[in-house]
Amino acid sequence: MQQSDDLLLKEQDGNILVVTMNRPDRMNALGGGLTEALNEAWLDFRDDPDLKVMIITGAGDRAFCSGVDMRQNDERARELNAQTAQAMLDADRTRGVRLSFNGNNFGLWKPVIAAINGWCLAAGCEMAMACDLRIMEEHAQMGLPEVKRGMGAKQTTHKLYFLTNLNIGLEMAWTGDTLTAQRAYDLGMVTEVVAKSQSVARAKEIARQICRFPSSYLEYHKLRVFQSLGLPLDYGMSIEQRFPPQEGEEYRPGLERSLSQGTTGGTP
Amino acid sequence: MAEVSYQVDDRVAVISLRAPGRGNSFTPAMRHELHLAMSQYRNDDQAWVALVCADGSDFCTGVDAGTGTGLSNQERRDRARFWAGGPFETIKPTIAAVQGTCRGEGLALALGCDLRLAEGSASFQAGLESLGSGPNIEAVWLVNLVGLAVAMDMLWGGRALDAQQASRLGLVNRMVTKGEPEEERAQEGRLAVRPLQQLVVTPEGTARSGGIKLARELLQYAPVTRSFQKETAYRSIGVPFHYAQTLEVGPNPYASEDRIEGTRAFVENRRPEWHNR
Repeated sequence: MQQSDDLLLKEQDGNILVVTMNRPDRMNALGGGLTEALNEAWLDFRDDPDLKVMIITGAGDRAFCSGVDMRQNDERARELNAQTAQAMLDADRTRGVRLSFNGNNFGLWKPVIAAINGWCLAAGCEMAMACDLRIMEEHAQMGLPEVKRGMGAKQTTHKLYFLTNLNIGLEMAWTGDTLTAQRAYDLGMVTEVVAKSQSVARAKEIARQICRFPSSYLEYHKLRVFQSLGLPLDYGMSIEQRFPPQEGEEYRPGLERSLSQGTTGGTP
Repeated sequence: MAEVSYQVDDRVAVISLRAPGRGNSFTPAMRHELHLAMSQYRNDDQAWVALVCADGSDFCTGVDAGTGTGLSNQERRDRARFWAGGPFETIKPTIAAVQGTCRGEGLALALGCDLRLAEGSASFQAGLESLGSGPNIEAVWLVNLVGLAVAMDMLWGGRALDAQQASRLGLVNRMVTKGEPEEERAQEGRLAVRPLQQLVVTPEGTARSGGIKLARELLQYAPVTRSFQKETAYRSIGVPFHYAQTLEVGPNPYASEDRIEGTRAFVENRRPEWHNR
């Protein structure tokens, strides 16, 4: 088994952290300790005040991430001689709480960008869907093939309706087929489509723009969006009244900085 | 049943409206028969996917002119109860296959299904006479699928969407066309992942034939997963997002027998055999 440092490559560029899933021979599948290494990376990013934006991508040009490692799961089932997957759940329960960015994002309100450089499937697709912005390379495809494998996409199914309309969402879920980069863009599921191997560079450009804002602004917006998603409209509107952004410590210095930069800098 | 038939063939339940002489428009009797057919599907363990389709050149033109007005209070209540939940109340997939006019309560029926297929001849209309009396599902669900602006144009302006427009706006999943379907891939090896199709090609080119093809396609895949995904997706609508994230509803595929089979079939590069448990 590889060391977790090798499984996950980390590169810091100013306030930007680029994390690369590095199991290219297994299509960057989540196994062999990669899930645990990712869980650690999200938390480190969340708690490091010097880091503002995170970019997540996959090593090589074939895959962003192909989902959980099916071979490893099958080995585990054979090892336990499991007849139903309940036996696997029970056995793994003793390993302690399983964290997952895909499901609850750990209360991480800093921006995360997915640079989708190839196959983006199952848990890999769920991870991309849990990010805030998605840059997709033109040859990449994304999808939730769980229905072909008897699994559930449990951490994304509740989002189908929020990410696209339920019509297309259910069709994706029930056929397990993929969206090409162009179709994903047409449906509003990715922010931009770029040429092959250009996704990280483009994600960095966007990240640098975002980094001009104080973290507290960025977190304010993300938190409010998620807090108001799915609430009655007038209740969602009222959240801002109760937690006005002007009360943040950085509001005045940030405003002064942006005024002093004049028009050349555009927004602060 | 005289005007709605229910037939199961190899796990696909085909529910057909059989009153083409009046464009399959709804009467209280037909609504009641449809209600019975949907209940039958819900309780039928042999049926895993349902197709809702219609005889003749129109899917359903709305309410029969002869019975649209002058409903008794009881008939009004029955109608409201049917549309308030009727088509939705199953955990298994429903597919509407639409040709010709799909209007008023016909549109409500198509919207009440999970997926929609359309022939080139399809036309989706709210039906102006339903203003003030149409099933709520039209207003509620149109907004969900095509957005507020188009929905209001359909409800107030009587705007009709043809099959192409409906497909582009996300109201229709796939268009059905006539032609020689490409050679079916050999039924061996693991289930492949391919781009989501936007066309169904059948020799007949009819909505019904396309619907059966899509139903058969879905049946290759894990039934426990389908049920979990439908239950979770619908129950996530209209609740706070962070609440939806913690939902535990429907069967759990991760605890199922089929998950072991699905994983093993992938590793052994063969087709899985699902048992729906």
